[in-house]
Amino acid sequence: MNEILWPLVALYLIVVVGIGVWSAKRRVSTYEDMTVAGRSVGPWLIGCSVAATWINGVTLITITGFGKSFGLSSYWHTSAVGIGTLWIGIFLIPRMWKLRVITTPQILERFFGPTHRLVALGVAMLRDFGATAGTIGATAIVTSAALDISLFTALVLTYFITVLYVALGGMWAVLLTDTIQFFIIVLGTVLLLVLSIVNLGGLGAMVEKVDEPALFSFTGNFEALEILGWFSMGFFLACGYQSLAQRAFSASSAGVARRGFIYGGFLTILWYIIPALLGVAGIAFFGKEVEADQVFLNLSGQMAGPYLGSIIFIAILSANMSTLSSTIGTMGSNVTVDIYQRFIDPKAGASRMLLVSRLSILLTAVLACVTYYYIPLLLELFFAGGRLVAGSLSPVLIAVLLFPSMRRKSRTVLAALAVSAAVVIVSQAVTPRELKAGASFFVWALDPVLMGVLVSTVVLVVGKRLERSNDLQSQPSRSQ
Amino acid sequence: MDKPGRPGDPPLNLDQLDRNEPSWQRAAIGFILIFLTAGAFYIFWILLFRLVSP
Repeated sequence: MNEILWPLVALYLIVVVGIGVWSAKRRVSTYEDMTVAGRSVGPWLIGCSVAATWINGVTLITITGFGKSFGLSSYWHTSAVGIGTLWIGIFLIPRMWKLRVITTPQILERFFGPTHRLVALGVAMLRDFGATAGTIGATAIVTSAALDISLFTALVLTYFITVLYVALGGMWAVLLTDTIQFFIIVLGTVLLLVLSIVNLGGLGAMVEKVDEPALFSFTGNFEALEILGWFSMGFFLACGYQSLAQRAFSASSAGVARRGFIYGGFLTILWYIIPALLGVAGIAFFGKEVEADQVFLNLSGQMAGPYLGSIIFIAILSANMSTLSSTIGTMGSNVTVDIYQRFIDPKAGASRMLLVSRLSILLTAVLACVTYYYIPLLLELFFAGGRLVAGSLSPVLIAVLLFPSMRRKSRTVLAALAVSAAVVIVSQAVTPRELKAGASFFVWALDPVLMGVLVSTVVLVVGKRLERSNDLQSQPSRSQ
Repeated sequence: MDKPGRPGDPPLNLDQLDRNEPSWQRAAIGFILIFLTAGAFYIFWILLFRLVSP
């Protein structure tokens, strides 16, 4: 461990906690300030935060591992999250913003009722819970190694700092720290890539040392169906990712939300080529035998002196904390708005809601820490819940927001949500899969997301023809 | 049967929701254009590596 790392880490942690304290004093007085920053945020803060949410420590380590295993073709998956972000930003996000909701499951209740909301809530929370547990674990592992402290101490440190600034400053703190974290991540990874290429003697020398043309080809070693599965996973996950949508709900107008997502989508598309290139550089340096998940850390160790090494470590920490703060914050909103306010105490006052919101954040993060101990495959924690959102919630949200006629098909939408969720769960259990890219990612013969999207689409199309419309405007609660 | 919304929600103005928003046909065209834009960026890197490979 180098001697400047501790002071730099301490400075970074003081800044993020300071932002939390500042936000709590100056910006947060209601639970709406806490959960959606009082709906007053501009486009750049949203854009940087959206991009930072897509990049976490697992991304840096494991997606660089994909780059090592699959070369440039890993971009088929990673670019899809940026493409999805850009697309929903233009076509879905402004409609979501106009609904004046705080969480994604609320959207379905606005159109249909509490049952739809509860099913959507279950699906969305499973994903965010997996992501939170995975990110806490990844942060603790890296922090433990870099600072030479025990895993338990690292876990407590990660939990304490992140929960402190999220519970104090809410969405304001998350957006501000995300933006700082985004710039640190870009600085750290771009410097690492440039240094790697320069040390190898340029791009040409890198290709020569790798000596495997498939890693630089359009489709790599993949079958078309595998690529379609990868792409669908990324694209549909972006459509139903509620932590992402919550940034849009924080915007000061529907137009600002759209612009923020356009900036965030482009930044994500541009940045995600970097892990693929780092992965290939890793082969050039360490040979094909190196473990995929070790490439990012090995490259950092090889390239970086004390200063760059510290920046890269803080970049990993930042990446983790930005994702962690997003998912913790969103789950806190789910517990506060979707469960407590909706079903336990609908008449709770502003100060009670703020308190519940902060307690929810503490509680969900503790549960995520405990879960991490029991499920070891980090990326699968993300992807198991992610597939559920991508294969069931996302197609339904797209249908309801883009096709006005679907808003009158209550039973059809509920059936599509429930049946496709069941299909994704069952197909994750029974579909043949292969463990590639180190030890943390499966490639599926037929990705469960594809199955879910297909089933959901069939149910929606058939149900739309069979079900009589419910007249939304005639419902009495509309006018209350 | 559930009722949409809950007491206290602001009225849902569906006309306002879709006003000035692109139709699903435009969303489909938009997807293709975004996909092609990201694809062009990807192809740039593929071609760059072809160009520099010895």
